[in-house]
Amino acid sequence: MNESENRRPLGIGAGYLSIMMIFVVLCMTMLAALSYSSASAENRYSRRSGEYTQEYYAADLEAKRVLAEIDGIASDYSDYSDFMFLAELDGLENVGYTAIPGGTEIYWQTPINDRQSISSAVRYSGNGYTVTEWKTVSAYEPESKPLNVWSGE
Amino acid sequence: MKMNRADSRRFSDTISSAGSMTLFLLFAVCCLIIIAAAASAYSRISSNYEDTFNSAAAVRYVTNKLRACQSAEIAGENVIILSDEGYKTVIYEKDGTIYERLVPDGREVSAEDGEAVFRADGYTVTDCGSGLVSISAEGDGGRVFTAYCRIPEGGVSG
Amino acid sequence: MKNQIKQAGQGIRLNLFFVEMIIVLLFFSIASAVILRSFAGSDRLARESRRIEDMAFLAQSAAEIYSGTADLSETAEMLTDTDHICEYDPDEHEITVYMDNDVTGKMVETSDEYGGGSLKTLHISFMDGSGETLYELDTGAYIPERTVADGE
Repeated sequence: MNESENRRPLGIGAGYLSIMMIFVVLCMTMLAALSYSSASAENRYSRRSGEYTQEYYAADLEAKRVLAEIDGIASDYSDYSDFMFLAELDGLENVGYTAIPGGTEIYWQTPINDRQSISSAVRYSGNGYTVTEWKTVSAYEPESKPLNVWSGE
Repeated sequence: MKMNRADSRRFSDTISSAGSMTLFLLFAVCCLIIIAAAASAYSRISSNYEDTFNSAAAVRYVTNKLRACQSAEIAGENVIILSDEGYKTVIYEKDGTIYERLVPDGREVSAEDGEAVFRADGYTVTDCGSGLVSISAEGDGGRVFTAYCRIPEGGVSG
Repeated sequence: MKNQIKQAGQGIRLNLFFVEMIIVLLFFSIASAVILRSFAGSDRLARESRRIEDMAFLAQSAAEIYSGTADLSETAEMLTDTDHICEYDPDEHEITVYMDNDVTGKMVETSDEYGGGSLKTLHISFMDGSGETLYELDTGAYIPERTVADGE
């Protein structure tokens, strides 16, 4: 009888549950924090990319609107070096031109955002125009000062 | 009588111990299930994250490069050559990785020795005609990102 | 006497276990509620990102196709080739695209006349089931009246 009473009783000692809970809660907190940081970084990037797409196409449409205005003016002329044609182009904002043999090259920039813009150029000669440039460029002017690096001399 | 009381006490102790053990095991199993569910949620979110920052970003990168160049051409399977003043950029895919290489004008242009820029499985460049190119890449979870883009040809007449 | 103390000790040990169990469960349920909320938030953000990405890619594809072709029916045809369910309504100059996640895209074409041609504008918008606009962009194509190219 004594032997049976001295047996270690079955059951879980105090503290095991607490240790287990702390471990599980720590694991879950870590996973939750990692998930949230990943999801929020992804969300920020997706939103920014979506906004950039909107900005790009808004600028693209605006550049096409300028092209439509230029072509509207050009449709009244057959000689694209005509003084009156160039004078009318002067009335358009942010539009520049250069005389080329047999016509005029017209160029303009449409800002996408504060870092980039769409640089467009069309060449009027003969019976119509040719788009010679339609690309995104950086809004920053490159520094004319060369970098102070060893040139091997 | 005394023996009976001791027996019944021992029996009730055993039942209590077994009950507490069962509760503990139940709690442990629940904890494991919860950790597994949390890990699976994390892996799903992480896979989405990987897709966004690899495959989707790769497609965006290539379309932005196409928009920013003077002219472009598709030269072979999944190889794009972008031309700008003074240099050419070759963007090509090899073993699920997208490489980029800058080549000065006058040098031979080849889709080799480029710098790895993105990891993107199933990257394909398809010429759709009408000056359009379709660029697509597949994410780890089988999600496909496709974007069309106009190829600048250096002269569109009107 | 000694036996009685031992038996009392066993009872206390069992009671301690149950008291600990109750306290642990209480804390665990509170912590789990907070953590599950965080997981739900992450999942919602991830789904939202996925939706924005799908809409932005589809809008970009539609905008590029339309800019290149200036033709709504061709745009609808090419979008259908990319596994999207599209409906083209030539009378309303409109394309409806059905996407996953209960999102519907609408692309409406308008035209402005300029002296030398027409500027066609495509307004692309995506709405959820409640009709709330989730994403939109405008693109366009300029169609000159003169079709003669100067051969450059």
